[in-house]
Amino acid sequence: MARRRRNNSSGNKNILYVILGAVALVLIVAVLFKSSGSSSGAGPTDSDFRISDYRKGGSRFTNNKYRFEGRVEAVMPQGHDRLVAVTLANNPDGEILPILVPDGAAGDVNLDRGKTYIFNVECRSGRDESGEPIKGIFITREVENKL
Amino acid sequence: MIMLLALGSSLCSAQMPNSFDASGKSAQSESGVPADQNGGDAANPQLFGMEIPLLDPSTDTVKYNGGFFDVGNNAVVRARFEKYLSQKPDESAKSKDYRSKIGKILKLTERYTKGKRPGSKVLVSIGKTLYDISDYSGDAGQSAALASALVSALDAQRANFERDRESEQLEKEIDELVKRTNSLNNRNTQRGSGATGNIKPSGQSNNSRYRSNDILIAHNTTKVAENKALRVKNDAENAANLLAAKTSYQSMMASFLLQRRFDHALIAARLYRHVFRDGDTKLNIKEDSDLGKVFSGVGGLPPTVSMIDQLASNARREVDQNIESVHSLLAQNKLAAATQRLVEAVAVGEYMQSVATFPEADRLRILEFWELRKKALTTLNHRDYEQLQAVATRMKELDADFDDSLLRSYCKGKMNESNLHLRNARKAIAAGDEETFNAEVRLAGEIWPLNPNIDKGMEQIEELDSQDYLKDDFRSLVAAGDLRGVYNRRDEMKVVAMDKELGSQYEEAVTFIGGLDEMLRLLDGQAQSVGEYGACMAWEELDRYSREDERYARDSAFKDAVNTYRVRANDFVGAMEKAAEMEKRREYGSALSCYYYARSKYPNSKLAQEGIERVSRLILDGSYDMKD
Repeated sequence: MARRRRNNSSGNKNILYVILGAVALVLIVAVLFKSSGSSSGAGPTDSDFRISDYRKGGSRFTNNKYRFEGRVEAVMPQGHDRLVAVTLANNPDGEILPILVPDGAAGDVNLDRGKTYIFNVECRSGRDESGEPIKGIFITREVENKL
Repeated sequence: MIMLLALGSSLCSAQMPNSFDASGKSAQSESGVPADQNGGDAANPQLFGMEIPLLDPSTDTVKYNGGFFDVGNNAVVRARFEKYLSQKPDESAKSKDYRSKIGKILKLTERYTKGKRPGSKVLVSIGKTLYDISDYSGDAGQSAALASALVSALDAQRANFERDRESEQLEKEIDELVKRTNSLNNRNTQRGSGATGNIKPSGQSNNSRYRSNDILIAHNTTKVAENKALRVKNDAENAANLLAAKTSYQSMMASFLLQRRFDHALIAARLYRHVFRDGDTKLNIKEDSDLGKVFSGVGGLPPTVSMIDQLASNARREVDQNIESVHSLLAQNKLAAATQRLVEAVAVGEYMQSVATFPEADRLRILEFWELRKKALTTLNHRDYEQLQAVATRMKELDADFDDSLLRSYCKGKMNESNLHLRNARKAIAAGDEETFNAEVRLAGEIWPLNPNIDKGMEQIEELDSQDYLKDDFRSLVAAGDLRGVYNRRDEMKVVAMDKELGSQYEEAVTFIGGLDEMLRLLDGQAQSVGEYGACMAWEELDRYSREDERYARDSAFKDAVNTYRVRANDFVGAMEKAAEMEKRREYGSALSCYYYARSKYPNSKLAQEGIERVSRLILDGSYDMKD
């Protein structure tokens, strides 16, 4: 805490510095808090995403990156890849977002049904076995445990 | 006797014709008139201008008027019998007088068969009586003919007697002439030898006397020769006359016999030997003639007048016995047998008293049975078996002993045979085989033309013929896939079922739509019972049907149901349809999300679950480029 000065002009400057410092601190905290979302994860999540929009056509989201906090409702494995069906916050219960978790994307995280994780995903296209295009698939880059 | 009875035999038999032909040949054969067997040979001998019908025992046919008639099956005899039955017995005074006098003549002539001879007065009296009764219509001139024959024979005898007397007179004259001639010869001889006596030799007067005697002698000699010639001529004429008279009389007797005028034949036969008293009763008939054949079979002996007597007597007895039998059978209600006996009696003894006086009431009873018998033959000819059965029933009612089993079994057999062909026709038309149908219906009609079931078959044919346009409509509906249209007009288009080509399509269309409607009905019931997910369940079920068979999707009722459930399960159906759209666009992530959403609306959705599994596999099988 700054010492009170007898001289009024230098006192006012000190108060100003303090206020500015406090505001900066608040801003930093706010930014940090926002990026982690409602939890104390490593950053904020895209809580505005609407699965209903995705149902209307996933190709519109191609190349977009998202950070979803999703609850795993079902897991369908194939080899080391997994296709998980997750529900997202701010979306009705019936809405399911399918997310592909390729081999290694989950790291050490065990994807269990009923638990919530942070999914860092990207909407990509691909090809099926016959070479035909597949559009608008959310593919996981990283999975984090929700703390 | 046999040949005469054969004239009326077998008329009442209920036997079926051995061969039956729709062309009516049986009717021809029943008439008993076969073709002219001898190619039109000479006419029968005639008597008083009337042809004598001649019986050929070897073939049981009678030749008459250029034709041959089978006596066992003869329309003429049947016609005469029917005429007899429909006539009332003649009980007029004239007929009674006629029968009475004929009876008296018969009794009188019977007396003379026992040895006593009638005098000429009696014969004349008989002749007069015959003439008197000849104006009775039932006599048909027979009595007059007999009387004339008697008179002619007597006249011939008389003429012969006169010639005999003349011949005797001639003989006397001859004797006288011979005597005188001898006397004259003696005189001439005495004069020439100077014999004593009053004859003086003189010159010219003696010569003239000689000459006069010679002339007388010559005259007498001529006269004797003439008389002898006359006598010979008389003898010849007598013989010829007698022969002619006998032949004429014998022909008359035979004619009476063949015409079944037994009373007259008997009278004529009995009077024969009293008319011709030479004791010769042999019938002068050529053996190889038609008339000779009639009598040739009787014991192989030459025919005599006694034979005619016998035949006529036997015929009369047989007829009387037949009539007695008829009365007895009628009393027992045995009409069939009574009719048979009466036919025989009438055929043989139509002109006899017992037949002529047969009571009217009994005639009518037999007529009724006879008419039924005729009707049976007619309906049999026309193949009207129902009517024939009714006739047999009626005949059985009239005569409990009448055997109708043959008629009934015959009818039943024919009716069954006809119906069998109709059954085959029904099967054929059900299979759409019109050709076989027509053939079977034709066969059924040939066997039993009045079969009522044939009309039904013809109605079907007419329906088929008159409603061809329905087939065209049907084809159009099927081509357009409008099975509902066929179903709505299924009653109208029922005839299409009988078509070989279209029948199966018709059945399929009707069955399909019928099943579809039933399915919709059941589904609606289930949807209501299930609760909130009912519409989703129903829609899903309909979707499955439409995937399995495209005909469902084309049906209007089906489409209506689909739309109804779509509205009720809008979220679910919307999600499913969106999922399908996304899947089609290969936006599998969106599709999968839609399937999950649909399942959230209808957790039991099989389609949604299948979609989830399918699309999940597609996503997992894909390869993705994650480079930045």
